[in-house]
Amino acid sequence: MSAPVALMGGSAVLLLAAAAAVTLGSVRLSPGQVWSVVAAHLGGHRAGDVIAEQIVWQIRIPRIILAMLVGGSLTIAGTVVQALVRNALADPFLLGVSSGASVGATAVLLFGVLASFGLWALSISSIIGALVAMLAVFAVARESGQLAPTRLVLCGVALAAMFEALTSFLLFRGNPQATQSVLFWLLGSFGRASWSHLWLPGAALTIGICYLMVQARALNALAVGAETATTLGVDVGRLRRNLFLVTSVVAGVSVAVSGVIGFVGLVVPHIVRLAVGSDHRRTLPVGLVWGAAFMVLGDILARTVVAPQEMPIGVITAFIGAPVFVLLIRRRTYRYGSLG
Amino acid sequence: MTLELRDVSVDLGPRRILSDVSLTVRDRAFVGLLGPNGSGKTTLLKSVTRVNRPAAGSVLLDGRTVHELRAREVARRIAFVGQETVVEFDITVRDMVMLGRLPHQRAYAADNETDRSVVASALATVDCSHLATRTFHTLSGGEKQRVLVARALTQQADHLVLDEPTAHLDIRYQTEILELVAGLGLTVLVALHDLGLAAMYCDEVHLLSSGRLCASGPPGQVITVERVQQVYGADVIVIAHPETGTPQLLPRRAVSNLRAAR
Repeated sequence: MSAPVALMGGSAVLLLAAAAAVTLGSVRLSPGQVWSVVAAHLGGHRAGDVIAEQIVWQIRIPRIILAMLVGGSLTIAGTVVQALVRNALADPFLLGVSSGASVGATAVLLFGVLASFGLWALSISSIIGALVAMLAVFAVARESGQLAPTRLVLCGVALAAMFEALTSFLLFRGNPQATQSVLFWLLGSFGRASWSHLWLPGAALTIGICYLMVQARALNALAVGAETATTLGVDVGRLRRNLFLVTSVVAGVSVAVSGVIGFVGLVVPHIVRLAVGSDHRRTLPVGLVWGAAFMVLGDILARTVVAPQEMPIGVITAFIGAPVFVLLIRRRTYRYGSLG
Repeated sequence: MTLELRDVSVDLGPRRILSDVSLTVRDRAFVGLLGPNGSGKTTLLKSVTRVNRPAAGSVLLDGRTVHELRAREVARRIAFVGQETVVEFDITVRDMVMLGRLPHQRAYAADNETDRSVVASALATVDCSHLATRTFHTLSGGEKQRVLVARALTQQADHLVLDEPTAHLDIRYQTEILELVAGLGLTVLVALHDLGLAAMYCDEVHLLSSGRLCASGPPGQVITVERVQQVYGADVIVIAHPETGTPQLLPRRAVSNLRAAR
């Protein structure tokens, strides 16, 4: 598949998915009601129908945009982490950010830490948790200023285990009713989406994708090998540090706003490589669009399969992602690390 | 236009791998780096390609220290061909060779006409144009090595550094790759295992032993029975190649088993 076809096809799916997502939901609104709200806002004013206005513009649309941002973020972070550590099993959470964020989120949900920040407490404490985990992994993995892939993976896994133990400890000490909300958060949800939640993941993703696209060629060289990259004029030490920081921030912010949504960052990068090859100038933009589309479709299911209740999005992404992935791997010859 | 190592020492961790090596690679010379396993050949090459930073001494390119030059600038002057690379994901031969354009390209711009024509002519030079759309890891050892030479050519560097390019290749591809490299008209520094091949192709060879340079000069002077005995600990007979007159090594059987062998 050529990159323009993959991009246009992905964008078409993304738009259709978004259009479907905005009309579907636990409160039944007619398509006419929904689109009149969208049309009104496109025309620069509010819709007259107050209930439809509230549901469509204040709940559904921010939620769809958040799903897009998080899907794109996790996919590009996964793509880059896989190249950084040259391992097919790597995902954006490998380097510890999700387990760090979980500690922060658990502390807020169970013990009301940072209560003075109100609605922002959860995001802020997860971001702090993710940053602490990131800096800890960075400090431990560094060897004479370098981040060697194997060491990075091992330190990430070890520290992640430690942070997860800390989360378990907090759960063990916490109030049993509140642990339910922690479990729900850990499995991921876009239920808390609002317009004011969007700028942070939006900014992180924009800065991240800009940096990564500038480095796309260097990233290709690094994926072939660190020594090759060095002899091609890439400052490998600095590139690895920056990739680590960018992917950790992009993934960490995603976790902070939506919880730990597994599998997307592992599987979608592989599906994208199957379709368009492994040149990062193609995989990054295609991954951005496909990851966003995948997540919006997943969220539609999360909101509808057990309506009026909501399924955690992490359950959906694994349920759909795993079989799709296995089918693709079995049908095509594909090589990345141990999958070779 | 010379490449010079001046009193270069390299440490890997606590161990000194290379000690006080000084040598000069003259412009357009084909220079061989010889020595047993673990004598420091690869470490020396990596200090030239900036992968290893010397603990003491310096690597000079036209009198300037390579470790103080910009990485991209060095990559436009010195290209490297390693031992057969293991690539862990699908990459086409053309994309692999295109990577050689990296030091010439601006950060984010599409490959331009120059890039494409340089890649096409490099593939033609190594006789691999027909492989352009193949996946790199499906190639044979000899093809991979030629493609990596093509990648080095697209860097348009005037120095080519190769680390045992003939390793794991059968005899046809061994001579094929060295003929190819010798015909490029570049300054070549190559680590070689096979002393006979080195003698046939090199203008000058440097012999390393335990991280120190123990002999330098034309192959005929460096490759002698005594040196091979002393450095490799191997008992050999040296004869002249019937066509080139260069030294060739014949291994010997232990005296005690000789009668049985006959």
